[in-house]
Amino acid sequence: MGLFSGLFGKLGVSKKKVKVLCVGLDNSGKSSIINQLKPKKTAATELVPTVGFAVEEFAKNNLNFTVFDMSGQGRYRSLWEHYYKDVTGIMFVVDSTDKIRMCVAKDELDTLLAHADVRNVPILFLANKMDLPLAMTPVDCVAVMELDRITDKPWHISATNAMTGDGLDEALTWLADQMSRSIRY
Amino acid sequence: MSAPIAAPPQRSPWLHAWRDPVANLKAFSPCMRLVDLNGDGDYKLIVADAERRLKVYRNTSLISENVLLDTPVSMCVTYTETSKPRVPSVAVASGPHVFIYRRLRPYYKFSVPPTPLAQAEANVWTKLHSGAMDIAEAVDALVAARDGGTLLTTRSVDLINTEALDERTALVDAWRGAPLTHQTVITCMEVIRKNMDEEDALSQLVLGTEAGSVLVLDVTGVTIVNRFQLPSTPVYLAITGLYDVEYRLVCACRNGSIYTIKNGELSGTVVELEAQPCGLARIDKHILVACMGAVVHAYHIKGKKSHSLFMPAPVAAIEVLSLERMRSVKALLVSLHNGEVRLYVDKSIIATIHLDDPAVGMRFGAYGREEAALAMVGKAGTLVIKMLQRTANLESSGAPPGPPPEQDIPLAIPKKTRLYVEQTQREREQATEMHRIFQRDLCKLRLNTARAYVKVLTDGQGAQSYTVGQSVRLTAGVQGLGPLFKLRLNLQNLGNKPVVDLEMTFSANTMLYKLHTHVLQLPLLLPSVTYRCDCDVESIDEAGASDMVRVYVCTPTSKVPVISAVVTMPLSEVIMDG
Ligand SMILES: Nc1nc2c(ncn2[C@@H]2O[C@H](COP(=O)(O)OP(=O)(O)O)[C@@H](O)[C@H]2O)c(=O)[nH]1
Ligand SMILES: [Mg+2]
Repeated sequence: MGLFSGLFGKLGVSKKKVKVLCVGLDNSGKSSIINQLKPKKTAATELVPTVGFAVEEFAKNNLNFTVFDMSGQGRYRSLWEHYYKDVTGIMFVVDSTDKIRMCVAKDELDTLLAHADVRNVPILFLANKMDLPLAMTPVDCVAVMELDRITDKPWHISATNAMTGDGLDEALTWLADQMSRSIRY
Repeated sequence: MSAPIAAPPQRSPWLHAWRDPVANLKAFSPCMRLVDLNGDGDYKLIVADAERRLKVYRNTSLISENVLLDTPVSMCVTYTETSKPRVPSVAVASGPHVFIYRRLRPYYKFSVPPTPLAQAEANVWTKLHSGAMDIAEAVDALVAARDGGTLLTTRSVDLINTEALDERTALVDAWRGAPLTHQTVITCMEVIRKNMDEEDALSQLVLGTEAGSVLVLDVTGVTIVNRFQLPSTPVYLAITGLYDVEYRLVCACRNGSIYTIKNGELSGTVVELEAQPCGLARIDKHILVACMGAVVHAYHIKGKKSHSLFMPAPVAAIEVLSLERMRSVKALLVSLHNGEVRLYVDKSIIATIHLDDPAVGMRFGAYGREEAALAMVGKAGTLVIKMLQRTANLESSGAPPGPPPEQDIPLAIPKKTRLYVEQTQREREQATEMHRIFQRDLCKLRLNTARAYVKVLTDGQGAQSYTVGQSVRLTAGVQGLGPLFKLRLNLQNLGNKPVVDLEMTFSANTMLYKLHTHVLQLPLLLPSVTYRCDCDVESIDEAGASDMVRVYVCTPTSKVPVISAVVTMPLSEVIMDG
């Protein structure tokens, strides 16, 4: 398989398609992260707050990603649940400097985890804006959001900087790895 | 009667965001605002602290602190320009002035013009200074003027309230030569929008003064564009409408009445409250006024009473919870002195927060990037921030208020038995005697209680003691066979405060015993730690007779020992002399 997939990968034919839902509160850096993941030439230089949602497609880690960049603003958060059903993975972005809204992020996560449509998919937590002073460490985030209670799904947390891309590759590799495991060839 | 049947416990709609128990804030609701200070969508909390500080909180930290010139009464946020980004001015009212800050820098000061002097009062002061009237006469004349309805200057009020003659003379001398002016002070301040009902639309300040006037300033805060005179001092203002279109200023006054100014005229509808107002809010067409005596009354804006909400404790602050962007909800937040913060939709209670430090100041609005946050300042200075869940169910339960349906289900009351009938018969016939017996027993009970009380006060005996406010436990034991004994004493402070300055003294029959120590200075007793002290006692009686040793623990402040113990010594072995 290795040889073929490598070969096919280069040819760009057999790459598996994955759907990833990117959620998190507004201003946490979801659009910036997705922008950073996209190939350099298609990346936007200026970002405005996302309205509703945006769909981005790119290839990474031998997978064809379709990412739903959901708007995090309060009035659009109710849209998230419509996408839970057929995603292969979830990215949950947290602004690690926004301590005051950690309770809100936790509440939205609780709602997500309790939703019937969320299946046994891997969840990647990104503690974003790690470059800023007063940013909470991933360990703090795990404690505040009580992530250790998630036992029925694989999850992982990384500190990231969406401006430079630091930490993103390692995090994406984990997600891609988890997702390739769960999809059948 | 059993307690009202509570609704099944549901998840609280409040998320706990942050609590700073050492924020050390001193502010009531009028001195707190949630505002987008830089026009970037990141809302801050500004507090005009009674310690003369203007503090700004962002996220979980205090980001700026400016010194205020005077103790603030109220603080408002106004928008004076239409330029973008929308940066508000902060207006802080203290004394007769309104200090206006832009980007947290002092920008402009508005002063309330002095009120004209009452002729009678002016005459009294002229005569007093010229010597035509002595101080006692002047005070009588001023009191008469005050009782006649004249609003006196602070100078006259000070003179009336000073008791001693020499102090009065000193006051009069100090003011000699200084012109008498009637400078009133600001008691409350709110904001009215000019012509657009948006959060950051142009707005004007509305001031209430001690002299009972309500002033409306222009957008820049420089000139008075309208002035109204009320029969009493306004203490709370609630404002609806737009100044250029249609508006109402609802003023709760210190005389316990609520007056309404409608489109430039003082309207005839006056609401008279049973008690002094201690909070005012408006939800759509309702005026909600919290009164002394743990009740919130709701009136229709035209003056008709709608309903009352009765509280289990006095009200400390009220605030409106209003959500507009995501959904339209308006509710009332009531903070009580017992630490509860209740959320009411119409007449039904939706949720309650329990705080250790009762909130005396409360603001609901946007904080950080969250639209629905509640900032609370406690009596002891704690700052608490809660956030409303996005999906919180704020519907009133819909059950009609009034008696619960259980009331209509008849109780299974057993039939009257013969015994019951006989008993009632007896009660009817021998009522007087029964009453007399009851009175006698009551009397006896009171006597017993009083005796027990006297005993507690005078005793200071037994193994535990609660006298003079301290509770100390003393246990004593004897070791040894004699003639040398060791008294072992264990002391334990059962209270929750350390006890100092205790002494322990011993007394015994000196014919029988020789004590090696008579007085022991005790160390500081920390709560619940056991302290051990020993005292050597030697039996000097040849026959080895036994007696008691008394141990007293005393404080320098009371004649009654904190605690005492009587230790019965065992018979002593007699030393056989060769
Ligand atoms: N310093 C820093 N700023 C970031 C980072 N990620 C995002 N931002 C900034 O955060 C803001 C919101 O980003 P955006 O991607 O629009 O957030 P979204 O609402 O979650 O999509 C933008 O101004 C970004 O420049 C980061 O890692 N570090
Ligand atoms: Mg976005």
